[in-house]
Amino acid sequence: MKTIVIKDLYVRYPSDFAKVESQNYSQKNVTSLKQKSNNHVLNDINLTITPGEFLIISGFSGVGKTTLLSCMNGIAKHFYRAEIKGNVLINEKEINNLRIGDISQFVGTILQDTEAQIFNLQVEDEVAFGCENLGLDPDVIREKILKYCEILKIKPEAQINKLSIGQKQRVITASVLAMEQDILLLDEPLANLDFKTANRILKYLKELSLNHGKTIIIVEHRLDLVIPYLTRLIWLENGFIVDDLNQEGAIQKYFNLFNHKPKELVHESNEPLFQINNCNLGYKKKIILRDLNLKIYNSEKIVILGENGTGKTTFLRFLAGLIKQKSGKIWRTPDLRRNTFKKVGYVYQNPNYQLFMDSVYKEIGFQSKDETITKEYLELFNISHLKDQHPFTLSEGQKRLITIAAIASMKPRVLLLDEPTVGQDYEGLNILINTLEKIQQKDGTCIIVVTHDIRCASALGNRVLWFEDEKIYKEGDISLVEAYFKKNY
Amino acid sequence: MYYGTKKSLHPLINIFLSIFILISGLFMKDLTQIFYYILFINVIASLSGYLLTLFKVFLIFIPMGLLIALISYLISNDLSGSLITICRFGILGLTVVFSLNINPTDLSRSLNQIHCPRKISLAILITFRFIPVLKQEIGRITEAMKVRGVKFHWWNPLQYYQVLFLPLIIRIINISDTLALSIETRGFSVHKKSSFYKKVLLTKRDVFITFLTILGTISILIIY
Repeated sequence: MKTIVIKDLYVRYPSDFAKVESQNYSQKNVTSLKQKSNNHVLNDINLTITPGEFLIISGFSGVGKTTLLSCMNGIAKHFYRAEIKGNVLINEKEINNLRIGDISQFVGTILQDTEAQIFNLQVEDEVAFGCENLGLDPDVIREKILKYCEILKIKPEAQINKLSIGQKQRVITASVLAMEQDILLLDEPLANLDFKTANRILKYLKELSLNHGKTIIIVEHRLDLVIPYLTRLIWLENGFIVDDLNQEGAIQKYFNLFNHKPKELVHESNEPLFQINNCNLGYKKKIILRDLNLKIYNSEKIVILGENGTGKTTFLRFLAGLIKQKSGKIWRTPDLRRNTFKKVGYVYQNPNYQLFMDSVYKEIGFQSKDETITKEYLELFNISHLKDQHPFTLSEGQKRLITIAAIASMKPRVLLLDEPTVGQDYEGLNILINTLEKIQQKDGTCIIVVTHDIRCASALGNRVLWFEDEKIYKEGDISLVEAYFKKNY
Repeated sequence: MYYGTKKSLHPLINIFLSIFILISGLFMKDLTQIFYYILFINVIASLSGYLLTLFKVFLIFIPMGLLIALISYLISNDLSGSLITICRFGILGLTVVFSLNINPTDLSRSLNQIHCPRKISLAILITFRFIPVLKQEIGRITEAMKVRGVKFHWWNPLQYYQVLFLPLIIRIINISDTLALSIETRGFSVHKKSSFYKKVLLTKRDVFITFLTILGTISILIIY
């Protein structure tokens, strides 16, 4: 079992990247830290992580959490060519002198962008890849594939390109877990997972740390989800460790950071925006959702819940007019029929696809064409301080907020949001929820959100659709959120 | 792009057949000879279980061949020459049929089995993987832009550059970076010996189809 010791660590990226990292959402108490930081992404980090620890690294967006993780697997030094002062020792061995491939013999890493990490066609091949690199016997590899596919509830023979993003996240998790290294570094591993799967993985990781002495280090925003499992929480602000707490301290200081109650829903009109009758949805020959019967009204706030692969994204794509029903009928209000893509705003799960301008200001102003509206939305989403930044230099959470602002500034009648809270820290989450509420009240926009986020699911809507077994399993008010998470805990 | 099924031929046999068909097709000079050759290779492709791929490939190659043949006919006024042109496109299509049925993972494994350096076999695997990724990314970005209210016009190439090309390049670079990192963090090292979870073995069917193709091709060359 291996101990990690980080001594007097300072990290700076060779380009302007450092400036970007330091311009984060968190404006609280960071001014003095910023002055001290001298453009370092990480400053004065001193840590000793012993075997069996279940450590969570958290903090607001862009404070250097991923950088800290990437110092422990050699990525910062060897891949991003960061200037590193200080030492990162694993069992008294300086890891910055080792190659990434060599470090990975005892340090397992799950990176952020799920889809980009996968290159095999079949699940079993992807899971086998790491084990093959470790030179394991084929029979042992077979055993591991079966074991970890069972834990992650994926079929070894499944074709990866047919899986949802959450299911792909399970594949990559299984692939890393199968290597069974002593130290596991996971960068937002729960981002795309449903509540049930996230808990299953956390329970398994806890067992690894408790019974097998493995060190688990996770970068995570969803503290409500991980707090029951952690033994230690490190809170970063502007590259400094400002809190190093045990579970009790973490609960006292950081549990339930988010507290928001939705306002009562008032229907503005009786005429629905969408009327769906007996629709079946799917791709090629496969039916994903059956017998949909639903009316969606103006000013509604709908939350869609369900496990990975239950057809939530398919449903949003259907409402956005990107796919057609296999059978049944959908009636759209004439306004939506005439101008579907402008009147139905659809924000993707992955924000990288919807950004293309060279500054946040231009991105927001692309469709609105009106400076007043652009400024209004920059302020509404609290991103005025990022207006001159290139969107691609921002954190994933920030990018997501910008795509939402850009599409909301088109003033659609319906706003479809696919996992908008992924990568959002508590501050970003508060801004997002309050802003969506303001937009809904001001313009009467109907907002439909797909989420797995226990922190805020009940704050995102007044009406809940629970997808399961290829259908709308339950439909009801906000009390259904609690029932859903209780069932899947 | 991979159209293969579980019954696809051994990947190295698929590569061999693609190259063999392409080269032997060059030796076919007479229209009758080419016609019988195409017919024969169609039978081989069907025996190999590639009927669906054949259909999809011909949907692209036949119109292309017809267009080139028409241009050739208009220029030279030679009907037989134009028909040979169509047939040559057919042969090209047939080589593609076998290439499209190569399973990249199996190819990488079979290359490792013949002691090809893992660096090369992995590079081939990733290259194969990148073709559908590129197609998928173009589709997603085009769709995402449509959702953002962008309308593409052929008279505005600058818009294609800004709205499609730039995000695509950035996304491809990001994917390449993450993929490279993911491979390294999952233990890949050129300096270490790795094992193979599965071996890709030659079957009797592979040998039979290869033998039949060679024999049939030589027979067509001799008889016609």
